[in-house]
Amino acid sequence: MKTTSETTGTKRGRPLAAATKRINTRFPANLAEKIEYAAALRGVAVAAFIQEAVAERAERVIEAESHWQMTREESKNVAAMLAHPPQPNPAMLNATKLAARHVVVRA
Amino acid sequence: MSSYALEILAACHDRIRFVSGLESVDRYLRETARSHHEKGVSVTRVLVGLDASPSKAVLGYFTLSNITVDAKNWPGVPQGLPKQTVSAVLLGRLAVAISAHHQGIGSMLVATACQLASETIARTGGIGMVVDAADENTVGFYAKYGFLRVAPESLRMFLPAVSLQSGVEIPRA
Repeated sequence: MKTTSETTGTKRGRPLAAATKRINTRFPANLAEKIEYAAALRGVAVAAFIQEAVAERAERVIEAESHWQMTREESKNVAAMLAHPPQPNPAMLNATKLAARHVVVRA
Repeated sequence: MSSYALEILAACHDRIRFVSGLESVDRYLRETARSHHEKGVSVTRVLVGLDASPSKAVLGYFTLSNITVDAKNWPGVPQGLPKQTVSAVLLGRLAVAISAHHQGIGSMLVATACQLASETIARTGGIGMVVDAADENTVGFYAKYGFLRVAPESLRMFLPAVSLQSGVEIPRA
């Protein structure tokens, strides 16, 4: 399946930057068909469809490694942990003692 | 009677032969860890034999970085979370070589990561250590050391700054 094109804009959605770099990848036949079908439903070129989906996913992955926007539930749980921080448990204490005996941290 | 040294990943470490059983973490060590350090994204430290000589076999590694944390003022959530964006230390990856299993290396890496995180927090602030577990098994591993899920089913776990201090010092060279 060809995944790249010289597309510089999509009919719908945000215009993409000039496509100059090629990433070669193969898709299983059924996934390729699914992608082509979904792109057709949206009325966009297959390449544009893939680029948009992948860009979104990449953004989320990078974001997750550097920024954490807590959900309501996460806020509640983390607030509770901070209010009552647990003591280091026996497993953690043993691990620390083991490390103190066997590991030296080099600068 | 130290047996291991924890060092910042460098050219003298044998990244190629590191096999943890999880391809994504092996690949990160091989291909991405050093450039992330150079770019200031994160710091990867590797555990090697105390007297190992280059190319040093990597027995395990972990990667620490900073993560900013935002808690919106959700209605009904008890007070206690800072209003502004704060930072935490993120333990993004931790892995042990298959050849070095069953020697307590994973536990020593966790303990050492906690100490380094605690030192960072003592110097520049932070609410605690965030851990992104790779899967449910890994969640079980961190839970053993007291890390708590930030939400049911979530692979993200947390331990407050105070809880990172065990009172036992892992020595520095």
